[in-house]
Amino acid sequence: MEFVATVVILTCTYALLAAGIVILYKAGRVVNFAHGEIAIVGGYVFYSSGMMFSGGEMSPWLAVLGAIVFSVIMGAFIYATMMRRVVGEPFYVAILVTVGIAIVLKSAIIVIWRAQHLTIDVGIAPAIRLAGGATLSYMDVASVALTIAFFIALYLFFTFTRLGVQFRGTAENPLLASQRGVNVNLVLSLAWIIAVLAATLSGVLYGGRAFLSTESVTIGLAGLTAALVGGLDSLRGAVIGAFVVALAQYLTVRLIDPVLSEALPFLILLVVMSIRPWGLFGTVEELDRV
Amino acid sequence: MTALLEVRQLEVVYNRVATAIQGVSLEVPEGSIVALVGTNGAGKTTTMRAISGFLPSEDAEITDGEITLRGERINGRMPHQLAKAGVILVPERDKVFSTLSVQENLAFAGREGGAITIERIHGYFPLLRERGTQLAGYLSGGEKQMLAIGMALLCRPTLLLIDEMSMGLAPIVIKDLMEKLQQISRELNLTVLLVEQNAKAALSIADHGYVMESGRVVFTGKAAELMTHPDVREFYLGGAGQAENKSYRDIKQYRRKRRWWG
Repeated sequence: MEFVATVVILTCTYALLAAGIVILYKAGRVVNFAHGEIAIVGGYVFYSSGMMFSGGEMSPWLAVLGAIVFSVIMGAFIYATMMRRVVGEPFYVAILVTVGIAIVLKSAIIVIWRAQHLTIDVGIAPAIRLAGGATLSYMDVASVALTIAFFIALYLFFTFTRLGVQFRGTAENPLLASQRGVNVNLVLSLAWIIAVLAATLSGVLYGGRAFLSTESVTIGLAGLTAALVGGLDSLRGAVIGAFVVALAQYLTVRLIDPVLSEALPFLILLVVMSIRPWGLFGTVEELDRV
Repeated sequence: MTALLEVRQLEVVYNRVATAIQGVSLEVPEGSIVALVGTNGAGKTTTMRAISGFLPSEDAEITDGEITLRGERINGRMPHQLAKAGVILVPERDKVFSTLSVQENLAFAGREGGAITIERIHGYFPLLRERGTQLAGYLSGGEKQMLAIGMALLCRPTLLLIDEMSMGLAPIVIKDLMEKLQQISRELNLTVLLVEQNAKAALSIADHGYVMESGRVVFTGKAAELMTHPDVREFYLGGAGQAENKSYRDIKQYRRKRRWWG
């Protein structure tokens, strides 16, 4: 059971990251190399917001509020001040901008949080015991539930709401969407907000199971690998890809060498790019543009 | 009849060097269908794109002239701003969202509370009701055109711009679509600017016509008069028998320049 619990939580962490990467790619053809940094900074913001007024004990509600405010502001800010200006430019320009964002955010971790190693403990964690001696904290359960809720909400949003349909249409043909009265900038801002929100949730999950630090930003690469394994334009693929990466990492730690687990996403990435560059559920045409 | 749209002395330059159209002026009266016809590269689509705000996406800009909608200058507005003002374009290509279903395409544009409802669109184009759950990418050319017009109507257009409606369609489908467009225009008192290479089809339903050549308007008049004009007949409507077995370039360019620009 411990095996199942670890893989499920790791899958949730990577699936959220991968979902954000997929949404940004679908909406604006941007491959975000700053996603790991955004996730970890989101985790730090969650922690700091929760500790802000509570004298040493974390307030989960303040933490959630802080994380949501951070996601909205950060998502809108990144699009409005940077990504909006590179719309219509060659794809590598946007990638370089995201690399710049990654550097700035990593520096922010050092400057604001002194690069300290933090574990997020919301103080509501009497463990649930599973068969085989495995334990799950309430935070783990809440995290998995939130991840499932996030994906269900995404599905409902994209399928049944007019804004969701406009979002999908804008992702396919922004010019036509614009001519049908859709404010494309608003839709793309929303894409960034959703992606940052997912990344923040992922950072909180990671900070709860492991710790937040400047080195933790490498989860972004695991998320990117998950997105590429699933197909860069498929949300369903993001979940499957996350499961593949999580399972492979767990098995590497257990059966081979824990040191290799850090390098594993790169290895999976190389194998996928060699055999099936469009991923499991991606479309060939979409990947051609990268 | 007052002009809903007025284009005065319009000049558009691509990439800051290539002048695509120059001194183009036209009027589209309220409730009428106006056809803008001409051969490939005449500047029809550029004129259309200038009106609908699409030029910046192609590194082109209006360098001179003015476009007004009900007397209000609309030069340089963004496409979504023009769409909100009622200027709705049905483009030549990529006119529907191919990854969305027919129903989703219609819902994409449909605004609540308007006189034009999805039901009414189904009334004009019953095929769209039958194909409701089908992905738009799998529709035939004619069905895509119906869907594109349906979507555009749901945006409550004041002015409907249609670029090359007949492109790639069978003559019978073109005839049906043209008649349907005329019916819609009459019933909804809708103003339409129709850009077409197929001059015969366009002029057959239009009230007024403009002929473009090499970035300029070279001929204008009532559609019925244009249909009977010997030059227009010869150049655009299948000829009056004089051009048989001869290259268009060999004869027509000289005569056209001499007669219309001279």
